[in-house]
Amino acid sequence: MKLLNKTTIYFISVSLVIFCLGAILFYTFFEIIIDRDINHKLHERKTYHLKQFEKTDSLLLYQRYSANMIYIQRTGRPETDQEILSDTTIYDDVLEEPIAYRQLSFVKIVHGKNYFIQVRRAAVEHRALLEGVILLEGLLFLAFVAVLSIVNNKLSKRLWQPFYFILDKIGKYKVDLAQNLVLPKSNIEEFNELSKTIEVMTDKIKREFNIQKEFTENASHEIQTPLAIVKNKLEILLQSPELSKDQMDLINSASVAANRLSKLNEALIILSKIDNRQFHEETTLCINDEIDQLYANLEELVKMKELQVEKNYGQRLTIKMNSHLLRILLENLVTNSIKHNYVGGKINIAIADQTLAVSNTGEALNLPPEKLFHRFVKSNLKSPSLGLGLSILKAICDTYSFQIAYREAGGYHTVSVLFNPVQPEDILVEEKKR
Amino acid sequence: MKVLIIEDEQELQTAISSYLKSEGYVCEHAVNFKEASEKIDIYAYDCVLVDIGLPDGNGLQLVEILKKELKNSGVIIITAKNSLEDKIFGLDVGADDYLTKPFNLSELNARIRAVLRRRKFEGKKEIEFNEIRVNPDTLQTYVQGKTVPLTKKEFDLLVFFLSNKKKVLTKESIAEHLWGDYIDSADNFDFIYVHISNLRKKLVESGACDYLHTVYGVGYKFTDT
Repeated sequence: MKLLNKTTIYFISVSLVIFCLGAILFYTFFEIIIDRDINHKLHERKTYHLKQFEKTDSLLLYQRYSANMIYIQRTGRPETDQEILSDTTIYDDVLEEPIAYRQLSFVKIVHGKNYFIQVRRAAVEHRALLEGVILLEGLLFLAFVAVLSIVNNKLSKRLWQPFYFILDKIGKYKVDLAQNLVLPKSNIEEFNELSKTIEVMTDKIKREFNIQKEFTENASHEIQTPLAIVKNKLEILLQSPELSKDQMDLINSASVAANRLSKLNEALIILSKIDNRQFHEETTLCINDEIDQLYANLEELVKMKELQVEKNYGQRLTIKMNSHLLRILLENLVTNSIKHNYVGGKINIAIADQTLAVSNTGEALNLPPEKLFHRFVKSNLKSPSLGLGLSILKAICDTYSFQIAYREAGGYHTVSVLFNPVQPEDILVEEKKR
Repeated sequence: MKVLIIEDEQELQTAISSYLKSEGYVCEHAVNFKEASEKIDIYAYDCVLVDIGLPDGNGLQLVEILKKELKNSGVIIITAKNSLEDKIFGLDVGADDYLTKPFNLSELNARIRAVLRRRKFEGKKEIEFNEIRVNPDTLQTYVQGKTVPLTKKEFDLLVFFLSNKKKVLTKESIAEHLWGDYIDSADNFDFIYVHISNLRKKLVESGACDYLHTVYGVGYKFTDT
């Protein structure tokens, strides 16, 4: 959830509480005022009626014209100053519903007779009042929310603009590129602080990265040299005359192991180079041609395994990327399709919709497909392969945001790569800057 | 044939020179940039092996000097860094070939022979071994003057064997020579076997002696003894 939405929600929740409280206060306040007003009006009516009584002969007749607004009755009680305010409900014949009244009761002598008189006025309609208040408050609340949202949105976008700018810069930052990250200054202190901290941090990371990179390179160099010595000495030893078969076997297995170690080292170096995005130069290459060339190069292997290679090229797929990485990618796909096939099997290469799909027949997979791209994972544990081929593929695809997928259907294993025709412009721009 | 080995790693340098000496080369060595440039200044060599990572300088600079001073010597770069930039730059400044450590000595030997063949002005570029004659330029093979139809890979294989006569060549080194890094070589020994028996059959059928010997469990050897 966006920070802006979060604050807006907080604002709205708090203001909702305030508006509710406001509604209660309004209601009570209005009620009191109206109540007071009614009482005041009742007293006015009383004075008015008493004046009218003086002029009329029959009080009872007077009552008839006043409907429920006045009630007059002869009484034996003596006249007092006492007035009683009370609430009552009277059934209205015309409206056919009970109506609430406020009444003022007193005893008065008119024309020498004692009368019990009640002057009435319709009381406050609580429900109507409540509805009115709620409606008003509701409308006010909606208006408030609308104004708040609009203002908040506009304001936030302006205020947070430097932040998004910084975010964008960080997102595009690549630690292996030469220049340091420079973030813009804004007039907001917090963002300046953020920029400064990030700059310091990335500089530090960059230093560490370079140290790490150097270490990887040095380590590989240091490993390759002793390995070269081991390999070469074994090779010379193998040339000695008079070697027994056992001795030869010993030398041979040592040299096989040394070979394997050096291949492993090489693969790991490539992986770390890809992970560190150290392949920058890009050229435009045609996948179709590269694939054709690879299969031509490995023709004998295909023939030996009696494989049938079928090519379905729906388009000429050209791509701009590092040629070395593309070669590794395609080599892996092609050699896998031969290696993991059985004698007399089939290979199908399809290029369409920016996708290269290499399918081959072969034994069922011995491991969950999602693990296939992990490092050092092999379907056949006894196989002499390193188990790094597909993870190198994955690393290359991740670098260029290609989508690589594996599926098994109808006896075919298919690895497909969806190439991204649009290259991220920023890589090129950064390259030019260098 | 005189070869200068510029390599700071003593053990590696002795291994290289011991293999090359057994192949009939005269080997000299230099362990650093200074010594190497002195030797290049004074003597002439048919082929120079240059390690790029020298303790006191970049071997690529030596290649440039070599190309100026000794125009006729072949130059092979050897390096521990499998870096494409270095490779392109090295070949640009005039190196003839490029090998990444660790390499097989048989491979190095084959590369040196190829470089020397290419640079040989007066002599023949053909390789001769008893009744077998091979022309690396036209990719033709002759046994007693008659053409033998070999595939490209069989031809490469024969040249590799002829470059390393009387040496035991492991299956790994053969696979790597033929297919480079394409293949986990261990997967394809059967395949090498098929190639070798085809080559042997074609040579023998054309009237050559059977020089290809199996060194059981290890590899093969091309020898007339």
